[in-house]
Amino acid sequence: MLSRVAERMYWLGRYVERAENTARLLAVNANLLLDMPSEVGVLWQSLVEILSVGTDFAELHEDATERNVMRFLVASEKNAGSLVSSLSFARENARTVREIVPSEAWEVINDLYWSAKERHGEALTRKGRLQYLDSIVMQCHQLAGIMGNTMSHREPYHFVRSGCLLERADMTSRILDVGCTYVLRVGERLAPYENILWTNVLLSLSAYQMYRQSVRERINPRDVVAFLLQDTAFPHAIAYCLEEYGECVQRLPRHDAPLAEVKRVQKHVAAADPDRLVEAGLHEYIDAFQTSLGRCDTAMRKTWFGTNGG
Amino acid sequence: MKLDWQTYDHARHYDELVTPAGRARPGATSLLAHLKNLGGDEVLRRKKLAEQAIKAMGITFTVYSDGSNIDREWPFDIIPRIIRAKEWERTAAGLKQRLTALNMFIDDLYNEQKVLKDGVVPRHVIMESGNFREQCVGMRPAHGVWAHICGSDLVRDADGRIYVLEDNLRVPSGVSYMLENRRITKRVFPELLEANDIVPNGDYPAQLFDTLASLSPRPKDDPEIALLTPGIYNSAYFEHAFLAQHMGAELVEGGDLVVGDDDCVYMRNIEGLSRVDVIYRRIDDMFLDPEAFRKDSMLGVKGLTRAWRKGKVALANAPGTGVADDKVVCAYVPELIKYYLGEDAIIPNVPTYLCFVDKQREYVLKNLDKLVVKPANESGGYGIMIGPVATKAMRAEFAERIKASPRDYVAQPVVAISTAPTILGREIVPCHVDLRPFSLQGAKHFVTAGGLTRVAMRRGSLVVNSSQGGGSKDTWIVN
Repeated sequence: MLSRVAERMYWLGRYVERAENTARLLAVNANLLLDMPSEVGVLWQSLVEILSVGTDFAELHEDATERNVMRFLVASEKNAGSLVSSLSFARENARTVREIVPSEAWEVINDLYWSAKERHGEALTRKGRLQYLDSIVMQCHQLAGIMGNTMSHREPYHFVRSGCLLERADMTSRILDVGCTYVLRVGERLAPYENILWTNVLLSLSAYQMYRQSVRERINPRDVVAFLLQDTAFPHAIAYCLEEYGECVQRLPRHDAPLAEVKRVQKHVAAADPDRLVEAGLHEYIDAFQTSLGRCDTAMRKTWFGTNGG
Repeated sequence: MKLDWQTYDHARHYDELVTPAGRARPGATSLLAHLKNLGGDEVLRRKKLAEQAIKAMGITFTVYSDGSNIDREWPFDIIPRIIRAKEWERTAAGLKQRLTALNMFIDDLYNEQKVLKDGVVPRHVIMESGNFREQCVGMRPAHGVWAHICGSDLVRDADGRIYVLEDNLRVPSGVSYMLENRRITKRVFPELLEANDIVPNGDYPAQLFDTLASLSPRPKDDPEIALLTPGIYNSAYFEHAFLAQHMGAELVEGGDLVVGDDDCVYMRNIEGLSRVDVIYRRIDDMFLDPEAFRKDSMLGVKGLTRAWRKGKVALANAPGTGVADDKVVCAYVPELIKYYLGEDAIIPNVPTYLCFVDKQREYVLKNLDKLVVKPANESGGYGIMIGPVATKAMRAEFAERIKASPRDYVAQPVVAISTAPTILGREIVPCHVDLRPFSLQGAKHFVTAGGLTRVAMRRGSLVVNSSQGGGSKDTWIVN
């Protein structure tokens, strides 16, 4: 398999996963809006922070209003991380490896991009928003299904999947981070709403039901952090992503360096103490975690892609 | 939309589907009757269906505008063009004959040059052609074949006969659209394909694969074949990806390949390097190899020509084939067929006047108002002059140019190119069409069943190029 193709498959996986998580995050926040007391509202600014696009946003808008943030995160071409941009990159990557991607998968990616772009106006209205975002999430699932069931599980597939898993681990860590920040910010005044906030963190990762089945207690920060960080069975939990990612890497040739890198991250995650993390705040821990994910990405580039840049 | 073939206005040209009396030509009877039965609204609905399918399947071509590249949906007219199998058989035999002779000609030019010594083609015609490549002299590719893939442009004149306008022996494109057009028609008019006895055309990628495999320098069962593309910004990128996918070949860019110290070509893989046997290159000669051709090429592979000359890799088409698709050389093809094969050309050329021949030049200069004047070599950079519509000043200017460099110009009579019914807006209009079939030659020969019919989708326009408002039609060869 060509190094260049491997790299593009990897990025295809990453961009689709990014789009899916962004859509889910926005949908959950839009729901949260309906629950929170109006004097608090939703901290739209924190959405921009989760996705690390605060600087770009500040250049375009003064206020983090609902409309500004939604427009920026859904459709802005100036935001490389917007839903439409992610899907456009996914499509460009798929287009450059069109001979590898199954035609059915290409058609879904193509349609995802066009419908996200052409219908983005719906996302700006409260009425159309959920439907728009849900349909993107569903199409991403459809794509994952087609790839998983029609592509041979050989190198090209492992590269897509490894991109997808690294991106997912990254997104889960961001959402956890912001969940904690949220709770700290709203403070004691809103203690009654803490439960709702953590529920939303779980919902934005499609984790609510699985969490309920696995943790029999009332929702509390410690258990949510433990579940999303260390559960090895739930597909959006970080430990699960890393384990699966390690499996993918192991099936690829010359995998020593990338495998050593992910083992290191896995150890770090397994050793974390959720009680202490909740007490001290997650922020620094997540920062360090994201740096170590970055090292996994670098190891892949050096080993397989023969490139140093993104 | 009205679907009345009696009032369909095509009086001035030969129409592919409708006779001057407004009846269906043989082979088109059931198509025209079916369209009429469906009625205008339903036909327009099917047209919409085709557009949706094209968008969903992502069938695109790339256009450059304002410095950025956009991939646009492929413009397609749903009414197919029909050719009877009997006529096609003869045409296909003619294409095979042409390509055989052209390959013998190229092989001769880069080796013994008997054709020049015998005075069939004047030596200066070849030596002054910008496309004779010194780098190829003395080379003997497998089977003596240089041009493995050829796309010839055919037109039908008012007399109803098919003529060759030109042969494209460098990197002809369009075949993927021919295949996709059939796929769309299957979605849009399934009932028609079922009812008519249409020769399938889906075999091309397999035939191309066999042709390429027959060139492999390592005689083993599974040669490694790669398609070399300039990349995603090339206007034919869709086709490159399409063909690679359908042949199961690797789609590579220049940066993916490297020529080793052993003169073999390798791909950069996740496992390391692996050898390539055959390269179907979709990059022009000049950009192929900075070591042999343009030094500033970012698209090519350093040392590729060296590897090819040493017989370590096959290139399709071989470098240097462009020498035979010069418009002056094209005029000699009937004589070349006679010279190499001892046969008469099955498909005639559009008559071509060579301006460097005194008598022919005199005729051209006297009849500029009736002729089309073309630069012999596309790289000449001058445009085409269509005599009947050109201004007096323009004709005078071309007369001067012809006198100054007669080798660079040819002239042809204006061909009354045939038309076919095409949907423009909410109307059915006769639009001009040409046809590009694709011929293959390796160990064996192959000609596509039909080809890509290109259509000028503006009333009266003769421009079929997709970047200038041209579109295409499915082409049916019917028994």
